[in-house]
Amino acid sequence: MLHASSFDHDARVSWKSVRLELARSPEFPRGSASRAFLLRLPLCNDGSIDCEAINLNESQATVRRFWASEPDSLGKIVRSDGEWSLRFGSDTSAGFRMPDDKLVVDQAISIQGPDGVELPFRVISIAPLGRLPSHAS
Amino acid sequence: MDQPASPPSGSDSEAHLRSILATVPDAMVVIDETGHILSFSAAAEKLFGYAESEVVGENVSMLMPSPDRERHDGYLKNYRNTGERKIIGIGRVTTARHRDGNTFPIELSVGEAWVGARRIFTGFVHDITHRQQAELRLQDLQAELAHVGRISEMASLASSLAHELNQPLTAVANYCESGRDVLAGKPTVDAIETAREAFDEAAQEALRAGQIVRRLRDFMSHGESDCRVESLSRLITEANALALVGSREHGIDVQIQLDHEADAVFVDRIQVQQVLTNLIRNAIDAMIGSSVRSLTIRTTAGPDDFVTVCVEDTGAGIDETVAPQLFQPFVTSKATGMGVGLSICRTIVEGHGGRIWFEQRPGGGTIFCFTLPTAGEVQ
Repeated sequence: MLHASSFDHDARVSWKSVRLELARSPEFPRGSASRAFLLRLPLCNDGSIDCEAINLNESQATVRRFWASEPDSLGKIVRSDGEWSLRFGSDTSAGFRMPDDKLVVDQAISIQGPDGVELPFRVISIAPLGRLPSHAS
Repeated sequence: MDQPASPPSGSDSEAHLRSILATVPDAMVVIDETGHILSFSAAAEKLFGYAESEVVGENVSMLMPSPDRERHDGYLKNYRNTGERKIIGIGRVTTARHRDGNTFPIELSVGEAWVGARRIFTGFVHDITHRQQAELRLQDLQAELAHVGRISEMASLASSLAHELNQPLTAVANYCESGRDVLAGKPTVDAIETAREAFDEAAQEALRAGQIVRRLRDFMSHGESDCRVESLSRLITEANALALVGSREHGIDVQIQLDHEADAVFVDRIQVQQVLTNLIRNAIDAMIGSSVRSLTIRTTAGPDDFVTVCVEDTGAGIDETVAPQLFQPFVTSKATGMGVGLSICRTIVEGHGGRIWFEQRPGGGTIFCFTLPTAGEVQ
């Protein structure tokens, strides 16, 4: 099993599935549930993203982007310039930029697209990830 | 707008529709001609995890995984333009996506109706996660039994073949030896004639041996396959829906990447779906113990007149001790199962003139690939 032991470096960190949906904006006055990011990352109890856990398990911090009538895409969550970068495809420079905010339900998060346009998102749900390998001690 | 009889007033029919939507056990999703959601039943809210207020006005493609998500607008447009029914009134098994990102198998039936001048489509969505589980297992058992039956038949066939082949081969050897002996020393005209006869006989016997081998090959290459031109993307979508049955709780990321150049294949649909479900379920089984569970199904055009299909998992990989005989019957690394799945896959793929193999995935896991003939090259 890949890096199984490193999951448990801190008991206060656990891997979550965080869904962000497009929030109200002039273009979408009611927001849009069909425009979403699904983040898979380690969160501390207070909702902050655990950098250390991500560094230990880089390949596991993933993001899926669901956008109305576009193909689903799978990307990586990478730390860059004091922010988080959601990178899709092979182009490592172009990505979505996410501020270092805490992820708690209902929190507003502003995400900047590769085109520089900022869109408002909202944390819809935070769910524990399905059985990750547990570490028998 | 002229309407026959006295239709219920707008608000009456609206209330009537609401009451139906609230009580039907199957999820019902009503969309307009362009795919935008008009109403979403209580069962649909539960099934997909969205409230009706959140999805009304959204494109219904939000409830589908790729590749249907990006293609659905095209499906509707195609139907508006051609009237060709691919799902309306027919129904099919496909895959849906829950708000939590997971996909699950559904049976979808779609009805069409005109409300005044407006056309609407009503989708009835039935979650078949549990029903399919039992059916799939049954189907598996039948396939395994049929295959095991074939293998034991083959074993007895092989022993009688060995016996049958022995005769012509012995004869060939005898004739050749006597020909050589006759020609030893200074060959007379008679001796040359005798040798010629002996070699003729040897050739006849060799041909007989060839016929016996051909009979065996015919037996193995399933005479009963029923090849037609099929859409590979549809085969994959359906097989994937079936194979994902019961895997929802494992939270597997499924990605389907299709090469549109490589869609039409000339295959036996049932057999190829059997190969796909087999490989996909192997992949799921292999990932249960992994922390990353990502399944990718990819098609690419080539080589030559073939299409290559790859099923990639991020599981534990294949044990080196099992790898060399992986496609042989009764070889398995699983605690349960008879180990005939991959051998069935190989029989089917080779019966189509294709090839099946596996590779280690960089970063852990396995990639199973196989080739199928494109429909451009129909024998």
